[in-house]
Amino acid sequence: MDGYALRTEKLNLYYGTMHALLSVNFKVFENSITSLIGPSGCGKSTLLRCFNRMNDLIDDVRMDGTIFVKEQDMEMLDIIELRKRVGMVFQRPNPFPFSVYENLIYGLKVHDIGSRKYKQETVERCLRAVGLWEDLKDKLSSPALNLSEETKQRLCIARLLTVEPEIILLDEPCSALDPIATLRVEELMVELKKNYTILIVTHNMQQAARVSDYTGFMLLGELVEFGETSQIFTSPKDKRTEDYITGRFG
Amino acid sequence: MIKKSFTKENFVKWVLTAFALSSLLFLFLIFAFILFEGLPLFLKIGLSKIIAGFKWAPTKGSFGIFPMIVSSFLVTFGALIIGAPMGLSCAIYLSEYSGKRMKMFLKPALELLAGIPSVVYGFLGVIYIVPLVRNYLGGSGFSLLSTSIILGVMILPTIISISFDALTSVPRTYREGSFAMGATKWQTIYRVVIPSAKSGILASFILGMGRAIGETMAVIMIAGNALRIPVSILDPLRTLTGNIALELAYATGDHRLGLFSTGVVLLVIIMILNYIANFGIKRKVIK
Repeated sequence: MDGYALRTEKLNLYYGTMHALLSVNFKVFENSITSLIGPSGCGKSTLLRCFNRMNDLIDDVRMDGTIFVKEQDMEMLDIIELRKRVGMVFQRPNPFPFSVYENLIYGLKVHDIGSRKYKQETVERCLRAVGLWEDLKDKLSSPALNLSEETKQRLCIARLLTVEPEIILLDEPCSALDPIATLRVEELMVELKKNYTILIVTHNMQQAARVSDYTGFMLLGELVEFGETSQIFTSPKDKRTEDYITGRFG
Repeated sequence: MIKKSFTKENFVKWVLTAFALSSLLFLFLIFAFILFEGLPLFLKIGLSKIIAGFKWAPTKGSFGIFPMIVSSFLVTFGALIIGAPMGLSCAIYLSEYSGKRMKMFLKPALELLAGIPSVVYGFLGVIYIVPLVRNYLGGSGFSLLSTSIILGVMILPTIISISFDALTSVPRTYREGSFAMGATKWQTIYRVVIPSAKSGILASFILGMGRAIGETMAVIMIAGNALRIPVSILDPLRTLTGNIALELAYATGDHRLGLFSTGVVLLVIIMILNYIANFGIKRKVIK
């Protein structure tokens, strides 16, 4: 836990006239898992999407404040380079309608990295990292859309790992998965923590408690409380956090 | 009370069903009519002498329409060479790049393009394209090239609207997945969006071909209608549709039957194209 992988300073975001993030000061430590919890519409996904500028794809979004990636001002970073360093896994697994192999080498193709041999090695390494190599090594040319939801989500994580990101953003990655698959993906996250910094948005509080080292609780666009997960879940300082985690609303 | 409204509902349902099925009936009648008129000559002269015969002299007993089959395909591919890149580019622009205001302006303009009568296209061809080809490239100007250009424009609305639908139906999550890996917009379009919409785009090309091969009025005005296989893009040619439209007014006896045989061949070609567009390609999508 050396430094900050991500940090925001007085981050405000507006969708048109709607004030979606209210002066958020948030931080993510390197090589840790940080989770963002809060009821639907609290801005946790919006905050997550700020870190690789996915909000740019939406019309009518305005932002002020500063975001630091490894203490570099994000404004100074090239968006392509940023998205390569800060990868994202989505709520619904979104493999492309190509073969497993084509999915996995997509990032390398886009960034024009590596020889044929390097690509093959990367595919194996990344599939091993997500625990899919044994299952898929003979099915590399079969269509990715035919896989199970859990395998698809793992494949999407593997696809991300091929471009060697430093930070992985996960936007409710388990909401399309059954409880057993969810547990396995959680184990994978803990495994990945050794090499990557992970920020996860979840509305499953047990999940946040199980996997994360730090937790932020958001409500109506405000970061209400941030701290070590054990502290947030056992002795929250804010009344609203306590109400939420004890299930009084949300 | 309940029973009464029930019968009313049923009545509406049956009337609508009857009208819906009547369109099927028309299709059946057209088929029956063309086959009824066109098949006897095939039986009399022989299939190969008609579709593989080179000489069309219907009053002298020669009914070879091979040059017209070739010509029809040539103008169709010519139209595709011109219309496909333009149409696909326009569809990509509309679905991926254009703003709302541009879209509001372009879509109705394209519908208007589709609504222009083909005789107007033929007219423009005769007045502008034919002289242009004659003056700058040689020949009479009534040629494969001129026809392909006009048909290429005529099939644009078909290609654009179907490709556009195919592109816009690519899920947003694919695009997000690509952007999230650091792909640029163009990389996302040509590596993810276009491959995902591939079958719809191909269907648009094939339906455009169907439109081009069936076009008649504009074609007879600018193709030159010569009865031979063109050897250069500046040569005149006669298509299957043109043959029917040009000669039907004065044809009698076997000559008239020969024109119906031309119609049968045309119908079969269009059926094959539609089959490919509807089944061959859509089945892949479902997979």
